[in-house]
Amino acid sequence: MNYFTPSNFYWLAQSAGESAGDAARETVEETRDIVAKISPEKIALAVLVLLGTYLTLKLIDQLINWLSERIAKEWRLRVKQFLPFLRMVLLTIVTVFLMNLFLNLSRDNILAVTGTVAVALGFAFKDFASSIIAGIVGLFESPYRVGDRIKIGDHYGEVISYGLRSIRIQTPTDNTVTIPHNKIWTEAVSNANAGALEAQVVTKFYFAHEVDLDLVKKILDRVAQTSKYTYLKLPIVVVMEEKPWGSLFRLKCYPLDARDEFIYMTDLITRAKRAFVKHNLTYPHLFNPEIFPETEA
Amino acid sequence: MFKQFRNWLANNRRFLFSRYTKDSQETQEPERSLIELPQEIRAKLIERSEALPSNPGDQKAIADKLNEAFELWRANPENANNSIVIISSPVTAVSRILAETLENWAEQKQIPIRLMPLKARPDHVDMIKSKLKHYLEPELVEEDAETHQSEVVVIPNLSWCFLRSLDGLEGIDYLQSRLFDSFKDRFWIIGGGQVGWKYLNSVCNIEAYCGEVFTLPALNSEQLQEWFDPIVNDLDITFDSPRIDQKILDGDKDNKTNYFNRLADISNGVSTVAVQGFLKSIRYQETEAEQRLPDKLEAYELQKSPQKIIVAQIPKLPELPELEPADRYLLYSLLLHGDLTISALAESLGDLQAEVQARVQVLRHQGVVEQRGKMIKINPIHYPNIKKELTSNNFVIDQR
Repeated sequence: MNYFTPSNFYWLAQSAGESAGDAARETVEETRDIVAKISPEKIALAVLVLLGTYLTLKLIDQLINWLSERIAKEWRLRVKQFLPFLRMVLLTIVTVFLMNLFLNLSRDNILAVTGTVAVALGFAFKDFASSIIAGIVGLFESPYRVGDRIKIGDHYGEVISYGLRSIRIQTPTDNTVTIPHNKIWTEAVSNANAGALEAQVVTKFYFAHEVDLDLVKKILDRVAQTSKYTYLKLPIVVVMEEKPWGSLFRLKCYPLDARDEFIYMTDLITRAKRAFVKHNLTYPHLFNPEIFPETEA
Repeated sequence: MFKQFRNWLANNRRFLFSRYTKDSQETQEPERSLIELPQEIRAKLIERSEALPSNPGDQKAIADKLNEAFELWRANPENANNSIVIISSPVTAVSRILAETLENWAEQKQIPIRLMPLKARPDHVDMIKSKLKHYLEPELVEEDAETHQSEVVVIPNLSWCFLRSLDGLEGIDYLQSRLFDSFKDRFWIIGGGQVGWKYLNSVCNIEAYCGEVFTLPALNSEQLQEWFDPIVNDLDITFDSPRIDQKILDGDKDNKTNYFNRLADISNGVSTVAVQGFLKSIRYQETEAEQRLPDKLEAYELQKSPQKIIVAQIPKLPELPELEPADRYLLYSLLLHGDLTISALAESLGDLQAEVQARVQVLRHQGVVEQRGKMIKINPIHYPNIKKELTSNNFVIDQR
């Protein structure tokens, strides 16, 4: 027996069309109801709440930053990393309050509004929503935290703020770069200290092939051991690599404070070079035509 | 548990109470207004405190440990440890304690002692190794095995044998080779500071070459009381009564005991800090009928007219001024080496001498460091707070 006759199809399509139309009418009516309940008092209250939230956020930012720079270094990052959580908690409370104020958060209203918001966000604020969701995921996954030294794309620096949509990093050239959180979906995040105060610093030194390797290693070790910035609880390592033009040495060690990274590197290079001069250690002959005849050409 | 809580409460009382005051420096109870000591009495007090012998408690602890280690080595020179390292706080003159302890010890043991005649770090870092070589190199005389005699070598302060600079650790390298070579015929007694020792351990693994490492124990209140008694009796010093909260925490003890308990507590049992804490606590007070003190009751009864007496107030550490990051590196360097000239300090920091000099000048005005002749060192009264400050800023400092 065949139930799928053309008349049955017509009936099914008609009833589906009618129910969709009913639902849309219902949503429009509910939305109209909600909009009708918005009064000038509610708007004034919402503006006040938003203003208060803005001021509180600024105050929290200032307070946490002030506190983290005043207390002992070992607590600095922990205090700074508390900031995104505080901001998220405050923003969630305010969002819920405002939704309740305007939308009267019953189950039906939530369903009605969610659909509308989802469509709006889906088209107009796709990247914005993606960044916010990435920011919330980032709070738990922690690819970066405030105080970390990270590299995303071409940008390297210290994370100085963790916002709802983006982070701000301060680069070694003192520029502030804003990077949206949704980069964590697609880009690799390189984190040098991952919440710790220390971050490894790798300093490169170049020598000719004939250099006394043991002497170079000893000098590099001593340079790191005697730098005032070195954190001696973590290892000091010298690694070497052969290149066509000479020998490349990498001195890997940690400063007491990751913020001293560049000044530390300068200290290591300055003192090492003094020792190299004293011991007459030769640098690579990069422009020597006998070694690289093609360079001359 | 209760004792720990009580100590914590006593130590943090100032911080807890300061939450309720506008000024963190303001104390809860107004202190009695006492006048500064006249110059001649102050000078006498300083002179007497500088003339104090090293604390007998320290001397006894060293002598006991030394006897034990030395007898073990003498009984079995092939296998026993041939050295003992005496570690003190970086603000304690370990060389002086060692010298005073060894005076009697050498006579008792009837063994030749070769005391390295260093009184400070050589002016130039290149000279450290050559000086050590000069003092420690065995004499090139053919010796008969039977006539060969063992000896005790004393390095009064290891801090004078190195400087944290590229060439400054060569002396330690040399010393390690000597320690390794001469295990049968030499017993080594080495003094050093805690911070320097920890550093040398990190960079040269020096502990592997040495035998027993003995850290001077913290002095307790009885030892301090006994040590200061000659000055207290001589100058007829009276002890102020503690604040009410301190009284409740410490129980029913007399003023003197309370005073030395507090002194031992704030100084962490370090003798030099205790001396400074003691000196800072001494004031002059006019006694009147209603202000009479229990300890001076008899004198008061005999002599009714007002008189000035020397009073020891409850000792406390001064606040550490706010430090710049550069100051922390500088202070760590001073703790590492004990004392340094400006040029050696600059070399140790890897900075220009002019920059270092300016920072030292600021810290000197603030009373954090002091200068004696050309030598710069930490003011011992600030040592406990500096140690706390540096530890909480990631510097490697032994917490003992």
